[in-house]
Amino acid sequence: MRRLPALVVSGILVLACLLLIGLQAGSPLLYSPRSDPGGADHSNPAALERAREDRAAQVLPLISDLLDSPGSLVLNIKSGDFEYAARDLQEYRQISRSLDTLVINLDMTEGELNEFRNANQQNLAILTELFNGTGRWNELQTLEIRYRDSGDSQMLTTITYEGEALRRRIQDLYRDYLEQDQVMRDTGEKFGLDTTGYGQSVIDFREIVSQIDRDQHEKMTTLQTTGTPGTGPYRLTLGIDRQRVSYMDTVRIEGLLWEHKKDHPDEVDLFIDSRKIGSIPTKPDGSFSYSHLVEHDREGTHTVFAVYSGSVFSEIRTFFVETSGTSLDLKTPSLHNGRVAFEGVLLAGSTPVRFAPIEILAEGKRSGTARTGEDGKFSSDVKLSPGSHKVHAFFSADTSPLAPSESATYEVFVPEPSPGIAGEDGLLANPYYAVILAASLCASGFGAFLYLRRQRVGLSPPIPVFHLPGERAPDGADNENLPDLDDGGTVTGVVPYTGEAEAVDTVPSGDLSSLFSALRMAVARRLAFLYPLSLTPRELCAMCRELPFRAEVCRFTSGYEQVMYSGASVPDDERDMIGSAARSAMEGMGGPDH
Amino acid sequence: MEYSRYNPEWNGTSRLFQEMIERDAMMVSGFHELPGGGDALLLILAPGESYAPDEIGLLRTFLEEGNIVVLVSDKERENLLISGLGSSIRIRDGNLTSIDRFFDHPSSVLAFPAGQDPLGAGISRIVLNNPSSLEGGEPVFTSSLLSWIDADGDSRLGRDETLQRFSVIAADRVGEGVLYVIADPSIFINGMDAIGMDNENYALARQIMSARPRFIVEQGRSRTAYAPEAIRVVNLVKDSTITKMAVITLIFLVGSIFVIGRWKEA
Repeated sequence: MRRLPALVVSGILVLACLLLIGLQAGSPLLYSPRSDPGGADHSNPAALERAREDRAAQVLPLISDLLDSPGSLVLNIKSGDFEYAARDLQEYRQISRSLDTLVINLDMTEGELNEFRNANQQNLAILTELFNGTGRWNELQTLEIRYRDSGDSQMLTTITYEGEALRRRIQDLYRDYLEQDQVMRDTGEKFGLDTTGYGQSVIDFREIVSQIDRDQHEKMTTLQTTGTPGTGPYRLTLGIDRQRVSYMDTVRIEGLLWEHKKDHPDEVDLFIDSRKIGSIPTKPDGSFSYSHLVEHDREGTHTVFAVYSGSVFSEIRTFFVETSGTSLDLKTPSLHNGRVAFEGVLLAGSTPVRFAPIEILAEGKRSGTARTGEDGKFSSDVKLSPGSHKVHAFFSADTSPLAPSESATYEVFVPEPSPGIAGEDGLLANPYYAVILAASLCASGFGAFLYLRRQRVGLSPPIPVFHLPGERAPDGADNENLPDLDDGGTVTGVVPYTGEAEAVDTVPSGDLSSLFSALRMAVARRLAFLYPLSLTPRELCAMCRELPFRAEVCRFTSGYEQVMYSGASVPDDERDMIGSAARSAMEGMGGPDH
Repeated sequence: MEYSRYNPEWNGTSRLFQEMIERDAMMVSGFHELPGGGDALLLILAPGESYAPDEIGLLRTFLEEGNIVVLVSDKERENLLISGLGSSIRIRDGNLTSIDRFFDHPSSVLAFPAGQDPLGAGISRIVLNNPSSLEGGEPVFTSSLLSWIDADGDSRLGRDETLQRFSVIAADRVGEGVLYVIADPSIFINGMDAIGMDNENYALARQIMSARPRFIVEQGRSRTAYAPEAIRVVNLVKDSTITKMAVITLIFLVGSIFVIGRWKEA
């Protein structure tokens, strides 16, 4: 009965241990510096990763290079050295790309550095177009000489008109370049960098524009004075209803072909910015019209002219496209199946912006894209990493006269995907799971049964058998049950049983050791004590406290101790008296069976 | 236990104080204990509460006598003390962030020497840990130009956040003495050992300790003096010979009673 509380306590402790292990089984890491990242005063350095070296050290040299690059490029364009200019442009593009990467890596997609980056991107686009435009301008110069020499007045007119469109475009580029000037110089000066090269690029750009302006003006004057289209009564006239337009406005272009033969269908080719946009059929009276929707026209001046039969040119007309502001409305993002759903609409005033590219940015980095529909609405499902994210949408399109815009920023939290069985189907959803579970339980139970059964057989205590010293143990079952010692022999001092009282009677009174062994075995058998050989005389006496022959046993053990351990010689009569105490005790036990 | 000299964990200052003790630093619990003469440097590291006007007066006298006071705090509360000492330096408890960082964390700002102040001599940079910034005085260490105050707390440079250098250690002459203000006490915590063998934060600490013949550390209001009750008792025992003797006697007494009891039982 006394073992029950111990078993209960052990059971509780085992369960507690299993519970603690179970709690940690999902994430066995008990402590790491990351679990102690610090507080308001400081961060735990052990929980932080070392920053990559020299990231910041690259910023200022890059900005310096980007301030210097346009100077060399524009100078080479101005001097007509296009081979070097192409090389400069390539280098400029690479450095700009490095800055883009760095700004994203440094997570500085907002603020001053990003403003500089944006201005630089504009400059790169402007100078690339300047490079291409001036290259084409030089080609036109060569063609002009050739056509003039061959007397091909029509082609001469064509390239002169193209030159006019080019002139206006380069003027617009210069205006755009000046718009970036302040950001570029302010950033350079703030970082203590030399902005002389950039300043020189502005001066050289202006000289390029002035040179082209002068040359083109001269050509147009020559064209008009030679009597080809532009002077005198036009055989093909052209008009535009609105000079300044903006996004989704319509430019109405109307004209009249004077040399038209009545009821004879004719066509005129219409050019905007020297690009043919179509052949327009004339009406019976020779008039024609075309409505141009301003949607993918860049901001700035655009030239229009018409050509009939490849030889009759209209005068050049222009219209100016203004930039319209846009607003990008983003609804609160929602979470669906681990993905973040974005919805919104892009408007230019009250006009939906159709087929426009939208970027979804998380922490300033592009995480997804979308495209608006006919009604300006867009939607996108973006997969974001678990954790908190600041997200917003961004619109920018170089091919439309629309200003960039961005939505409000939202904070979204993407939860960690549930690990383990929580994310799976129910444990018993699949019948195989149930079978595996049942088989596992059966196997465990059977294994436990076998183990306990084997344990019980192995541990069953031997029945104590008593043999008198010097007497051979009888063959039979009794001997088979004798427990083995470590050295393989039988238990020393075991008294082969012949009836305890008789056995004790046969022991000489002086052989107290044998008497003690016999008495110890007898008492152990009486009390079903498993390990009699471990008993000392005092323990033997104490064990008998509930027995009626306790006094005899204790008298014997006391005398036995005195004889065995005191070292003094004990008279024979006293030995006999001790022996008689043992015999009395054995008699009190009444034999082996009862 | 933040900043405590008895805290051997990453957020304690046990290693710094071990070195201070090895250098025979004098610990004072109040400014009335400050010695006379103009050859001392007083370190006030991470004050936990404000100082009374009379204490500030005592400190100002100490400073004006030609001594050096090094105040290490990132709390604007200490501006009362600084202004009371007659200095123009002010602590701005902003969230100083920089691209120039040692660890990949916005608070791990690198600061570089500015000017020729002897405190920064031979130190190429120090690593800060969630610092504030300073205004006024002569800058001794500043962050790089690619630094900003992260007002919106998003760890990123925003539209309204301006890149500029921020002073993190500044000096100001007061009378014959010099007041240094360091806007980040976390540079001296044990965890900053992680910045490597050539620990320049500790080089700065050693520079401070050896700047004057006498090195004094304030332990009255400093958070470094905080100790749990158990450690207080141990310190009490360690600090007094009589208490030591009393404790030893008590231990012997208890031991004797135990042994005698066992002996009688046997």
